[in-house]
Amino acid sequence: MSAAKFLYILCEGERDEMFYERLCERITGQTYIQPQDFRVRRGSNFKTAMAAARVLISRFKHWPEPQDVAVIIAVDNDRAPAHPGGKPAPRPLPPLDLKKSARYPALVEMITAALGPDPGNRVVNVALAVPVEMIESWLLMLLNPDGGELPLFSEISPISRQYYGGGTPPPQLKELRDAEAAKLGLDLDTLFYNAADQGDLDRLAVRSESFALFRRDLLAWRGVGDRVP
Amino acid sequence: MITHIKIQNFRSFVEAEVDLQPFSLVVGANGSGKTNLLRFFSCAINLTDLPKNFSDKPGRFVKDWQPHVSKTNEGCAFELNHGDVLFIRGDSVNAGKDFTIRWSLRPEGAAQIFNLIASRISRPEKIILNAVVAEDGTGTTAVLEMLKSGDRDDLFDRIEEQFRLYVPEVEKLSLKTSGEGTKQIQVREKALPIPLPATELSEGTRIILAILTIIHQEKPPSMILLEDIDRGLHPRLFEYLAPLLRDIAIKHDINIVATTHNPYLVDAMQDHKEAVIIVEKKDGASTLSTLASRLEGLDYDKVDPDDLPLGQLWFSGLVGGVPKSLSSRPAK
Repeated sequence: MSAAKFLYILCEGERDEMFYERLCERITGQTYIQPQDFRVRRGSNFKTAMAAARVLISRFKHWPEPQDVAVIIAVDNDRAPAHPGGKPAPRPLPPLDLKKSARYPALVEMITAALGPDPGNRVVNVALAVPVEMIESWLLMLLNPDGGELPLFSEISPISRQYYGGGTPPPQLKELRDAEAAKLGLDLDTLFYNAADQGDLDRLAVRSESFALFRRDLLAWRGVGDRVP
Repeated sequence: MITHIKIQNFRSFVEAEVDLQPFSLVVGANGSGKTNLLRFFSCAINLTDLPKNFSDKPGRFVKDWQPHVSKTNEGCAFELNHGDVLFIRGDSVNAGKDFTIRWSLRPEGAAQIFNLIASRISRPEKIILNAVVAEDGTGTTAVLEMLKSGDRDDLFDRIEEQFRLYVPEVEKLSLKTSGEGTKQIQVREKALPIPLPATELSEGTRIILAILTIIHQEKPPSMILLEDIDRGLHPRLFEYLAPLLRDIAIKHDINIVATTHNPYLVDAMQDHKEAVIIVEKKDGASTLSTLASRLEGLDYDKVDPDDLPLGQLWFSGLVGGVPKSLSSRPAK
């Protein structure tokens, strides 16, 4: 399969970029040139990520002809509702989470409005990486394919304490990530890269519907000559 | 005021042009060519005797005029639009043209780069006639004393008034004698019974005072070039500082060009996107463009600026002017 030559990734940082790029390479079976780096500042809310994604997609929607370009837009789901890969339970969530709007459907709607409904007829290939609940979820499932249910929160914090009824929550995603890094004696960059490079992607797709959707998008990428004019 | 520039073969620039506004803010990655842009202004505008000092022959350059590393055998050239006057010099641009130099230089210095150092701003200074603020901020005290004791105490009062606006703790700005013919800046703060010498002020406070002194000098340079203007300043000051610099530039019919790495200062340019200049290296050469031009075709006007302020937009890389990734894949 010849998907595209150039790859743009909109994400929060270089580690995330390396992780998504390596997953993309393995799934599509090719390497890419990244002409530019796009970032959403860490700690930004979804509105900012969505606005940045809209501006990025706007760059392409005015192109008259399909180009050898593919785009990954990566945003953590962070317990937002209505992700097809999310679970309706457990609830209730803390009030802050209940106010969140649906992320994955909003991104799909924006891309469809800008580039059309048919992925095979777009001027660029697009894939959405919206891990439920965050990139660490995919990482931990890659590192422990037979592991149990993962926690919902990024870290032990007032919000996660609230969810666990005011008591001390069990280790959350970033704590589990750090424990894995310590156990393997790896820095975080290497931990993420090795997981993307060596993890079992088929088993991840079974366990994580959000990853299965990302992989589906990547597998639908087409080279310029293969796309419908 | 200069409204447009074109640069050929100067330091990191091979060929670049951009419109200038009264106050222009320059952003870009480290090493992209921001400082070379300021050097260009300083070199081009301060040339006093062009036919003598600027070589027509390829390979011969006056001091400070360095060509791009890929074009060492070619001449440098530039154009400056100053009002309706097109000022041209250089081998390729003026080839075959009969041109006249019509640039009128201000005797006190036409363009000046400022790379302000707080410790130089606060030192006691000998009071001299016709003092000016130097590149590192030296001379601030002497200029303030000249204004205060001369017949331009109105300018001193304006500096003090704006200084109080930006640093609300300040109650009074004055100069004390610290030796024979020597003065030092001192500041009375609201909560303190005695004035503080400038050495006790924060770095940012001293830099604000120097900037105010530079732009309120009786005869400011025709172009003020400020490197890393955000250094030491609280981000909340930017929304006041940017309009002030614009107002001063318009009022004096001068250009103020400042470099920054601070997205909050870029936020303050929301209504003046044409005044943000993005410097980027492409294929080893620095390029120039405005934020307004980079936004064309991006439908940014359909995005709520509260969701993606200009500084965030610049940080994202969607309009360029950002560094390349620093990390690389772990070694296997």
